[in-house]
Amino acid sequence: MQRFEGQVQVVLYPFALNPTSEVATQAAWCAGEQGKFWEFHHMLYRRQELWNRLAAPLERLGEFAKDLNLDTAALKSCVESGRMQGRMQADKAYGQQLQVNSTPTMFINDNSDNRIVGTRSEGELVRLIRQELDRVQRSGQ
Amino acid sequence: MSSVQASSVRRYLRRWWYWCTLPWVAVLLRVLLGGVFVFAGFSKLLLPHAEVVHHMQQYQMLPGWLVSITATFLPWIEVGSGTALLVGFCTTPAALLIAVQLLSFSALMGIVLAADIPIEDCGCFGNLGLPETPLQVLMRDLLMLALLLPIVYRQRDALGLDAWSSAPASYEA
Amino acid sequence: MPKKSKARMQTLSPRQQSSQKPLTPRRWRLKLVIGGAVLAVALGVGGLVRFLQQRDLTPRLQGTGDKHYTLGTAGAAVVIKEFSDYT
Repeated sequence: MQRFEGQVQVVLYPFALNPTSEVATQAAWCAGEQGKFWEFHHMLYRRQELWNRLAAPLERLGEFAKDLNLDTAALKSCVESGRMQGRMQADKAYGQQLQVNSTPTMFINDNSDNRIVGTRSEGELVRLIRQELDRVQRSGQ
Repeated sequence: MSSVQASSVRRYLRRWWYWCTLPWVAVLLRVLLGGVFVFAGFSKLLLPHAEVVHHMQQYQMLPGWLVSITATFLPWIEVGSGTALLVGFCTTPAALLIAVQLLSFSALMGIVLAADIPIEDCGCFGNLGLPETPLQVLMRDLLMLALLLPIVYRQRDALGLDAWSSAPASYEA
Repeated sequence: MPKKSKARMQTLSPRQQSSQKPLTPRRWRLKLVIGGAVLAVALGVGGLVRFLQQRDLTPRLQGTGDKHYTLGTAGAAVVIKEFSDYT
């Protein structure tokens, strides 16, 4: 992102593939209400092995939330209330409409031909972004 | 293997061959195998191309450019060869093409199993089928390979375009 | 020329019997036409399926983008929509 400052924007659509991931997604959004979505988001990936096999990960995620100085009780109650369910289901439905089956799946500039499925190396992503930037500049947008 | 075991294996093989080469059984096998390949091809055509590429990349066998070419053409080859076998048209070439595909898939699964590459779902039937492990795919493909033999053997007798186009013999009594 | 007996015919295997039958040119041509047509229909349906799937995708992609967390500058030249799972 730093390499392409001002030229690239990433819009995140959490696409939960299982119940454990659904809890994590809602927890991240609830952390966002306390102003720490991205910190919680990165923490979920960093500590993935510590919570992703749990059937009910909320307790463990609550413990992690303390490290980020989040209000754990508010986070848990937010997830348990189900307030984020609608938003999560809407994103999932949107992904299913676009035939997203695997994660990560990325679309560059809303072009269905620019669908990237699966993890890519940094070099490859940089190449794809440069390609799209060149195309946009050539078309004078 | 003792001679008793060997003769009992021969007996089972002869029985299997007898049943598989009954005309109605050969038709059933032809429709089944052809149908499986048509289904596999269509299930991949229903997926976005990048998804099919992603399924193939998980095998870590083919170079990037070959993955893309295979993902482009394989669904069409499956649909074409499956349809030809289904209707009994150019049965031998269709069966050979299917045999090549089955041998390739079997070899790929064998390598994946030997190299212990973790694959949760082979992607053989896109989103339309049940997820299959490499071992399940290997066993299924070997079985289908065995079932191709009676199909080719019976192609001119069993219901199909090749059989229909054969004119009756004109021998006198 | 000696006539072949029915008994001898009956002892031939199916493959041998079928190899005795000559193909008439007319039926052979018809077979090619019908077989080719069936193949063309099957491949055509496959092409249609692919085309319809692609056609519907692009307008759907231009859909919802609000109320999602973003990284980078709004209005950037390249916008990447990322669907990801935490597990």
